[in-house]
Amino acid sequence: MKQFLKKILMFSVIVMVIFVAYELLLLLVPNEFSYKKNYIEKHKDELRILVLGNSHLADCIDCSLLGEDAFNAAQPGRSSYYDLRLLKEFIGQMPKLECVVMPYSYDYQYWGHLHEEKHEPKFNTYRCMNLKYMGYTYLDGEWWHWSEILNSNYDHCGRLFGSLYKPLTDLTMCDSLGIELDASYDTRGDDWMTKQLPETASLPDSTEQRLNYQDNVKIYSEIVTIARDHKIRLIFLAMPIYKTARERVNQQRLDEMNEFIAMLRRINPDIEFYNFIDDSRFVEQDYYNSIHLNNTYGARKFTPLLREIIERKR
Amino acid sequence: MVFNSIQFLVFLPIVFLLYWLVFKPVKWQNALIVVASYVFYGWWDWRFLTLIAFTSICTYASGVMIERHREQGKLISAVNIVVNLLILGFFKYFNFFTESFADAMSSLGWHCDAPTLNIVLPVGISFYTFQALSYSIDVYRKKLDASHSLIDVMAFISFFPQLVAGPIERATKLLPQIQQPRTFSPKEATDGMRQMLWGLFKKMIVADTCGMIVDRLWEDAASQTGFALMLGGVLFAFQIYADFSGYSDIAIGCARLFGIDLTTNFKVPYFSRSMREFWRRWHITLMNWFTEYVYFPLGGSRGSKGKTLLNTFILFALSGLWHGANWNYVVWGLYNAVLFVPLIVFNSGRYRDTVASGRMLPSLKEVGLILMTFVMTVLGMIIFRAPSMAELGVYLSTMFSSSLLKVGFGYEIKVALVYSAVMLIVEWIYREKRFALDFGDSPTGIVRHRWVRWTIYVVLFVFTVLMSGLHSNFIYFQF
Repeated sequence: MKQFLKKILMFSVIVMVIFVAYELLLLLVPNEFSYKKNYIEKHKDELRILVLGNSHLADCIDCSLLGEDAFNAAQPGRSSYYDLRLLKEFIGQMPKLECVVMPYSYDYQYWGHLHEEKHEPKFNTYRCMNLKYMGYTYLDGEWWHWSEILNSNYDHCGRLFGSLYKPLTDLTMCDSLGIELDASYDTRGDDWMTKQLPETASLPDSTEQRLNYQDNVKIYSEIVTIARDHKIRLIFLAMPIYKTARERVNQQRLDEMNEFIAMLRRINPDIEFYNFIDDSRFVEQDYYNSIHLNNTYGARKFTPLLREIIERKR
Repeated sequence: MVFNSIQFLVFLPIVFLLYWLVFKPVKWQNALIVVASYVFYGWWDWRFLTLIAFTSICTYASGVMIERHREQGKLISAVNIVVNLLILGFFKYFNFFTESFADAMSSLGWHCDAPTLNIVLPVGISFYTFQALSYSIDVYRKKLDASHSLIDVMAFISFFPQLVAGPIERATKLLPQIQQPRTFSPKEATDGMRQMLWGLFKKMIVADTCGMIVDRLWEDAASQTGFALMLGGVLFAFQIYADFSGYSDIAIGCARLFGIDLTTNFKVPYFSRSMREFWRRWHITLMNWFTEYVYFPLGGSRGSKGKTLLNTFILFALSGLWHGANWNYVVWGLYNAVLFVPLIVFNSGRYRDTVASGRMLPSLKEVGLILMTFVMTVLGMIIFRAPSMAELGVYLSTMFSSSLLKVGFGYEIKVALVYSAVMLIVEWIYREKRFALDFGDSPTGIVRHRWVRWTIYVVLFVFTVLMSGLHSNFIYFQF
């Protein structure tokens, strides 16, 4: 028995050393999380416009069309909790920051990571990557989220070995100013209009959604308070969605969205909200899928509109 | 709890150490097996523990009663069989039979609403029910003495390594091992670890990679090329083999750690030269169960050829239905029975040895026979995988269209084929051993060096963990 246990122990030690070395090597490989955090850190003295949020803005705000000193720090799948953490960490260190742009739409009040399925690979991946590369633990702060091997369903092997020969943008998945590179018109696929159709928009709310709602009230209230205290313009955008998705969004959700914004305005009356959900200027070729604009036509059409909004009140 | 989870990685060493270092007398070891097995099973849904406990108690009681009242043994055994089959039938087949009945009625012009229930299928119910049935039948047949220890019977029915997806152990094989004192064998334990490692590789690398592609192809079969769907069939054949035999390898390896020898469930079935040989090598314990308790009592192959054919059809139809409450499983069973017709009529396809025994490579004839058998198996697997008969129709009609000749391999398909090829090559090399990576007592060739063997273990384990992005459940859990 002793001999057997010794063998098992030896095997475990070898394997553990390999895994630890692997995790440490991964830290050296740039990715979107580390790139965006590092960019903000490096340019915090110059940035005037900061785009936060998730894929709805990450896919289609081309900061090269937005003017100087703007950066798209939005990230696919990021929940409002991480936006708040970023704001809290950097807003006091950004002397030139004038404007923060964030998405807000018909189901955001119900969306978050905490009350979703604990072992859902997608959410564990976000928890892991945010903890490891942004330095932000999620509310429950479980230490084991640190390990990419245990948590991330990103192709970390491909990332590690790809770093030996791939260009930086292939690793970060975004251009130097933060727009997502894979959400292009050319790669959207024939079934784009049925991809990511909203499922919950017309359904009754679940317990998880209600719990997320309570979190989001706190998180968004804090975000608008921080913006008010630092005298930063806070612009919320409800992004265009294609008609296949729009058919699934009922009036109740739209009313709830407006009520939520009204609630935030009671805390900070200066916040701005622009609703593009039914904007007919956006046509088929502008979309990446049913609820995202693409980074080609969509970004070229949407970013100038945002620029106009920003410059209107300058 | 699943084998390929962090929870199991913690659970197994704890149970192992308690079993050999703390709970030394066999009585206590069996009690620990029961507790560990119930924790293992209850991890999915603790409510179903009552079901498995009920099955165990009924089975135990039937054994004791059969022994005490021999003259009524048949009746007692029958009651136990009926009770267990009723439970299985309710959870597994209630909706299937009511819906099928309603469909049959409406095809005759009578409309009737089928009462359907929202029933959750308890994991592994078909496996442990069959194991329980084997006990009372064997006690009735006097092949086994009834156990007077409820704990022993509970341990036999719920032994966690094989509880949810087999191998389906016969009471005559497993129960005596549970009743006997066990001693730790470092060789068996090391072999067990090796077998578990190979099983994990098959499941987490081969099965999950193939499964991802197969799922996608089935989702939208109509818009795929015939060639892609043909490859989908081949990949599913690899997936289900790697998944199920991977589970069996882990189960058998894990049992070895506890000094228990389980029955081999797969013996390189894709190297079979006929369907008859294939079914001697595929899901061996289920086929043995049906052969022993259904086929032989029906007369087996002792009567005329017509009778043998009828018994074969019954055997395969039941085996299909055992897999699930869906017509495609029945059709799959009958498809296999049809393939047996020429074998029975011409009394051919009997191969007792392993292909190319004592040689490195097979002869051309053997290659031809293996390929032919594999093609027939793949067609059967497509039927097996179909979510419904309508989708099976779409899949097959698209596959056998002119686009079958549109050859094209995507990157992911190439990767899946490479993984499958590695699995097949290793299993070919070790086809006459108990399992792949069974290096034996005195390894020869390059693996005689300890460092080579250790490198293989480490590389295989690290590769399996790092490359397994998708942790899906084992296919056979649903049965």
